[in-house]
Amino acid sequence: MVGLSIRRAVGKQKICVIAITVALCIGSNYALVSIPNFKVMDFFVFISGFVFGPLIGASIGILIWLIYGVMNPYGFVIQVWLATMFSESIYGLIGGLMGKRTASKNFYSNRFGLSFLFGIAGFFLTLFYDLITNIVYALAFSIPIGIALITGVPFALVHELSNTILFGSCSIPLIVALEKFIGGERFGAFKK
Amino acid sequence: MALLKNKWALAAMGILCWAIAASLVSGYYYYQYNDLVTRLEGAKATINLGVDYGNGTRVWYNGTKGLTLYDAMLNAGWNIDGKSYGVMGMYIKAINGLEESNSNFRYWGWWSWTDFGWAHGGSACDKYVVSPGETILWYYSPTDPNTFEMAPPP
Repeated sequence: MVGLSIRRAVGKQKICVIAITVALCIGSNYALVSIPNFKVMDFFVFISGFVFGPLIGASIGILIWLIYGVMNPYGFVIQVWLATMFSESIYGLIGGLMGKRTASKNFYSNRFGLSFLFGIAGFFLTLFYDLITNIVYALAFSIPIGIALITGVPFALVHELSNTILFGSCSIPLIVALEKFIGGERFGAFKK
Repeated sequence: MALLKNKWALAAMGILCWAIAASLVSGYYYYQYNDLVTRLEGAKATINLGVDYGNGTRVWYNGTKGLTLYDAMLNAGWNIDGKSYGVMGMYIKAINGLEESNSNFRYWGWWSWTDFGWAHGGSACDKYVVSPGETILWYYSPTDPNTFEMAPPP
């Protein structure tokens, strides 16, 4: 009964998109587990939000950590888990909001500016993500927040720089590919 | 989006990203440096440091702390004139105003007290890591003009 009402509210297509993206992100996370702080998950969540809307983007972010966080090879701490879920959903949310704002833009004529903007968005979103998760980690383990933040800088920088490059260089090709093959909220795929 | 039309705004945001990243790196290295200095301060050994001017005057600075012998000499408040030879270390030319003398063949050398008496220091003072409780004496040593062998402290 609950499942039926969710399906009616969200729609079959959206559920499929969410399920596939979540599976893709979790798979990519396990594939890249040996490289600390380099993940393509954030990028996929952002693009999902950009193409399919902020609600789907945020949902994907939460769902990924709902599963991956419990079976995390690096361990499980409930406070950090909740923080990652919240922070990851921001990628999808901001991606969705950016998608709405740039809906009228021609991607080909604004390619450089948009790529730059995506790169900057990747940097700041990751900075926010690292800030939140490091603060929660410090509070969970009773470590001074300043020390937790400063000792986490090398990891945070790898995360931020890799996401900046990934968001800046891969966003437009992926968005254009998704537009061609499956469409999205931005392109009216979910509109009746 | 108006932001995309304003190239200066985009450039400013890019510079802001760089500034944040650079600040994070500098903050990290500042913390690491301070942490290292604090750890090294804790690792400093307390030694008995002395200076013998070769004229019967010997002054002891017991309880001097230092990581290396040179560090202990500085902590003792000595006025040191030396020349660094890179990896070879520091060569001491004068201590507390008393300079080495080529004409009189008197040079500064450091000696460590052992069960068998004074043993000549085997390395440059800034390369020698001191041990807790060690007794080290700087001696204005008379030197043999032929063999350049330094006489041990009396």
